[in-house]
Amino acid sequence: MHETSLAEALLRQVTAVRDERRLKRIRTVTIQLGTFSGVEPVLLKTAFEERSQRWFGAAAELLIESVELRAECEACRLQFEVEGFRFECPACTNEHVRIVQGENLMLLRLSAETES
Amino acid sequence: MSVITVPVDRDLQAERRAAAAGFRNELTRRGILCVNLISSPGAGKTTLLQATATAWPTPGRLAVLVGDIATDRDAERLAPFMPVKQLTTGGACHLELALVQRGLAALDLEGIEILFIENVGNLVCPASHDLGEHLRVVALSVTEGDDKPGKYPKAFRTSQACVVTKFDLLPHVPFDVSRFQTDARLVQPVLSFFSMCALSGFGMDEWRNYLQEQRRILLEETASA
Repeated sequence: MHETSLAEALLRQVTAVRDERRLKRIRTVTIQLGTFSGVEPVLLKTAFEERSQRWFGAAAELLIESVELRAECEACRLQFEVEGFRFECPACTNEHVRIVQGENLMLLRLSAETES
Repeated sequence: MSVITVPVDRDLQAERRAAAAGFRNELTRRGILCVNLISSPGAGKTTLLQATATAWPTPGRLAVLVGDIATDRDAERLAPFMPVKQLTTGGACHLELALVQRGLAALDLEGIEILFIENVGNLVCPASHDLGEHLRVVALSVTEGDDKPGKYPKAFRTSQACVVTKFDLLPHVPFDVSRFQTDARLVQPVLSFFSMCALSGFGMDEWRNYLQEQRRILLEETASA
């Protein structure tokens, strides 16, 4: 259960962007979350939204765009979606594949109120 | 007042990844192979490390950082075998790089060939944290069941070796070794398997040879780089 520390890392990033851009109230924060990131989306959303109330004085909503797990075959270079955690190329059955997507947590954008 | 959308596109793990890579390079430069040992609680990580130290040909070459949520019981168990520093997470379910780096500062690394990190007993969160290790090893005891690779895919996918512990109990439990290996290889085809009974020493030669070989490869890579 490391979603709480991730929520705080996310809040620190959002705070940095808010200060750089002189934003006022943060309304929504959108992240991209890989299905193989080891992060449980519901837990992260709850942890983030609860803490945002304390950090910002008003709750911000966390929007999560889920990204499927994809790998590339090191033999035939086919990129494919990994289903059922079977890391095998569906075309040439090679087992040496590299994960190309689905492990990351990206802060994509946020919406916020400005003075002007 | 108006509402605007601000694009950011920032990878939240980039800093952490870079820090882990930097730490790994530092250990490589010093010729130390770092092994992150993960498993569920009670799989036998500490006993495996005790037996590994006993079987090591030259004394004083191994060191360990041991993570637990509370208590320094594992450090007490390991202290007679090798230099050890207990890392207590205060509730967190896994070790993080900063804690490992702080702990390492308390160890004398002179002459050390292999640094073990015994992670907090947990097959979930430790799989998502690169501690700057060269090698991740997942240990699983036969009493836990042969269905674990599919249930904890990330722990197996991110490991290079798997030690099946308490192998002497095999006749007493419904653990199908070939089913386990097939299941694990679906997630991680290049996984090396070791059958182990740390209390009797069964399987220790293969395991020790593997670790020595991995360190030799590390030194060769360093020399050619």
